[in-house]
Amino acid sequence: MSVLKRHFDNRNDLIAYVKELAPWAEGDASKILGGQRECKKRLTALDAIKYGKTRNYGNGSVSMLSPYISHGVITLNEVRNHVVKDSNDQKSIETFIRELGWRDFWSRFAENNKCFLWNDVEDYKTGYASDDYQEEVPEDILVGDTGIACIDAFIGDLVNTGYVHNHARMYLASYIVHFRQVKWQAGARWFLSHLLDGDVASNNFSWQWIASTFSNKPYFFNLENVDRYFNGIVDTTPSRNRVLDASYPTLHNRLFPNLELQNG
Amino acid sequence: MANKLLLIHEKALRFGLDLRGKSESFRAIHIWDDEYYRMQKYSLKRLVFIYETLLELPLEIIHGNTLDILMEQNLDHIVIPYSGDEALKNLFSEIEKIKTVHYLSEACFVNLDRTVEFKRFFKYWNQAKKTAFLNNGDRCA
Ligand SMILES: Cc1cc2nc3c(=O)[nH]c(=O)nc-3n(C[C@H](O)[C@H](O)[C@H](O)COP(=O)(O)OP(=O)(O)OC[C@H]3O[C@@H](n4cnc5c(N)ncnc54)[C@H](O)[C@@H]3O)c2cc1C
Repeated sequence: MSVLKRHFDNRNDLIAYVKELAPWAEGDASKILGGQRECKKRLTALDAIKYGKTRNYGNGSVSMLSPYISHGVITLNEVRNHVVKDSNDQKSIETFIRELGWRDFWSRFAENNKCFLWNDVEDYKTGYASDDYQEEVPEDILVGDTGIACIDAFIGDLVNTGYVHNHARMYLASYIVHFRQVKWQAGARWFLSHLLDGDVASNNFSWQWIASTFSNKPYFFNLENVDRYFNGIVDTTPSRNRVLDASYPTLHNRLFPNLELQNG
Repeated sequence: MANKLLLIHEKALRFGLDLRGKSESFRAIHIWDDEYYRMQKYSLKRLVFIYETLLELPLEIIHGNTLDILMEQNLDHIVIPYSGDEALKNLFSEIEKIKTVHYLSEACFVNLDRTVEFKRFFKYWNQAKKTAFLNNGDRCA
């Protein structure tokens, strides 16, 4: 037993110290800073009204509070109290408060259904059975070299910073489960090994929501959607994102051929 | 002299922790448990984030195995912020075998019975929204 150091001259010294403590830990440090002060800054900068209008956009006014919430630096209650104290119009902050509710919802469900954290809550609604999906995330995804420019950029965010925008998490999870037919559990494990906000309940049930094992239908997307929300943030040139460049009915028929065909 | 030990784990890295107003004095520690962290497969990104956050808290960071360290402490009562995280819950049960544990619960978000189960978010939200917009969720029942 020894008492560890609490004072460092700079962040690089701290990083080197942690690396020495945990030589097995993979990757490098994120540029996202830990700490109560940093959390406070983000809370002060939060604009819950603007959030409601822009949250789906890559450059939208999202809070980036999740790493702090997941580590209990701040609670959902404190975030909510901060937002409601400045508002006299419930409608304008509803989207933000509802998103906080998603975290509460997943954690409640997990508490009563531990067995579903790593098992399908329901069957896949994709026309495939669980056994039809691969057990491991393929190597090209792990290293961010899928050849699909926007997907590789989102993987870069995950691996380098440990933070990915919610919409990009949805694209990544959908790409892995539906375009590459990988079990959601494999993708969820991979996310947890990188996300700064990694939380088994929020993460795994979100993966199940995308996969359709905890929702009424699979979530999928096309390049037009990525372009609409992430134009100028990631490369959405069709020639560099061919797999995604199709209409919804075409993709639906390609990804879920056992389901009823859709006309487009 | 502190008469209770407050064990701050990586899912409750904050001051306050509802200790205000309590008469006992606490000695706060975080145990940097290599084996535990390795089992969680935490990346260096996450470990640095945790350490950086710990540096702002008034506590000692002790290196070693959680159970061994707690065993060495003279204090019988350990106070732990509760977490629903499975890995932590497993650790809590191990600690309960060697010490008396008192859990601090996190302030709730909405006033809803935790045992009522909602299988779809919209059903949860229909109930939750009644208190979700209130300061302290109407102090949740
Ligand atoms: C595949 C997938 C995996 C995910 N894994 C995690 C995870 O491991 N940990 C995690 O905290 N969130 C996870 N989420 C939910 C969500 O993507 C993140 O909470 C959010 O993107 C964090 O960014 P933010 O703090 O800027 O969020 P904001 O949009 O600003 O939202 C504010 C807060 O509300 C909560 N929140 C918002 N959306 C969700 C949501 N859909 N589900 C649960 N809580 C939400 C978070 O605590 C977040 O910090 C996942 C989503 C998907 C689709």
